[in-house]
Amino acid sequence: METNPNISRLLAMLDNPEAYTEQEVYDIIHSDEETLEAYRCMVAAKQAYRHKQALQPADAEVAWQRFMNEMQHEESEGMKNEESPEHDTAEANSSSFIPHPSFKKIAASFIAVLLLTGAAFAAYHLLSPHRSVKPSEAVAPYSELTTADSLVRFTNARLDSILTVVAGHYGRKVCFRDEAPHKLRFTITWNRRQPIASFAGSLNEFDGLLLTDKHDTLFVESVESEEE
Amino acid sequence: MIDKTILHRLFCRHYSEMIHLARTLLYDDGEAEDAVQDVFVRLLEGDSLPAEDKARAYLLTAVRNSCINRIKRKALAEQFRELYSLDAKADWQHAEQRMSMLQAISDYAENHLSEPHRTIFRLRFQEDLKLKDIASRLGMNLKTVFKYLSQSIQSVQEQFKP
Repeated sequence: METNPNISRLLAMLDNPEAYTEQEVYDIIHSDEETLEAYRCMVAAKQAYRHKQALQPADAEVAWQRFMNEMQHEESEGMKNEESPEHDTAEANSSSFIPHPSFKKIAASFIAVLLLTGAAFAAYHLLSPHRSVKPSEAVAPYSELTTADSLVRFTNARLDSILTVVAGHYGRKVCFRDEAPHKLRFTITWNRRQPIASFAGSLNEFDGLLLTDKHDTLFVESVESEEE
Repeated sequence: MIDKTILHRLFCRHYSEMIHLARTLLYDDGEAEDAVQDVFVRLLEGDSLPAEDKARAYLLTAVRNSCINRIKRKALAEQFRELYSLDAKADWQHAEQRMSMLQAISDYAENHLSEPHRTIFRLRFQEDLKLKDIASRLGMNLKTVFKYLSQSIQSVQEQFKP
């Protein structure tokens, strides 16, 4: 039986995915329907073995104690939850974006600058829903730190402004799939020499935000809530 | 204000199923634990709990979505390397059906694949060995391992064609 050469490429890539760009990974998986189905089958195979292994009984009472200890620890760290319960519904995607508690956790933890991979710095500023926001900025407030290191620093800049600059550098269009992420503000240092995947990965560290680089477009969206 | 006694009861009643689902989706026990905890953190911070008769469906959906969000945050290369589902929401639309199919796949692999296909399939998808390591372990040529694994995948696909 002749093996589809794209499936052979898929298997070869599986052994060494770091040698491929994100675009190449995407293109090989999606090269034809048969290859995509082969990938889905491999996922199912792995899940099948994990499903079998995961059947071991879990001690719910011990897990509950761990959960309560975590909650008490977070309370004592002073992480106050101001989130409205409506955030976890469709209103989470409305234009009056209410900060998600995880953003606040990240803000509290990253009060100083945080060193990410490739010398990128980020401090996350929460935007109060009552504070007036400039509807748009013609140019993101940014400055070059050092030309030699290709570092560019954005200071309290809207995400849409940041991405206009960053995406333009990588030859990408930007597509916001919902309104909420437009108004998020970041203070972040970007290294122009890094691949776009690194930059996107840094922003994806923030809970509730998802950047995906596909087909020459950088897609930006709020991730779905954990309740339906 | 959430009644912690009721939350505790919900947790203990449904934790096993939730952690099982999370482990199946995320492959990592620590991440799975975090995904389940995230669901209960949200409940604790909310102002209502699901009704008892709807709690199971609610909690399993919530943990599924918690896992999907975690997978989505990973770079595509990592999703691929770890063989995460690229469309977990569609795959897990009907969780019970999916679990049955997964059980059937592992049974088929163990009982119906002949050797060396069965061993190669298990080493790749259960033990996460690279193909070159499988070839080395079994004293086989890498191309041969490729061929057997491709055949195994095709065989499983044929067996479980929708």
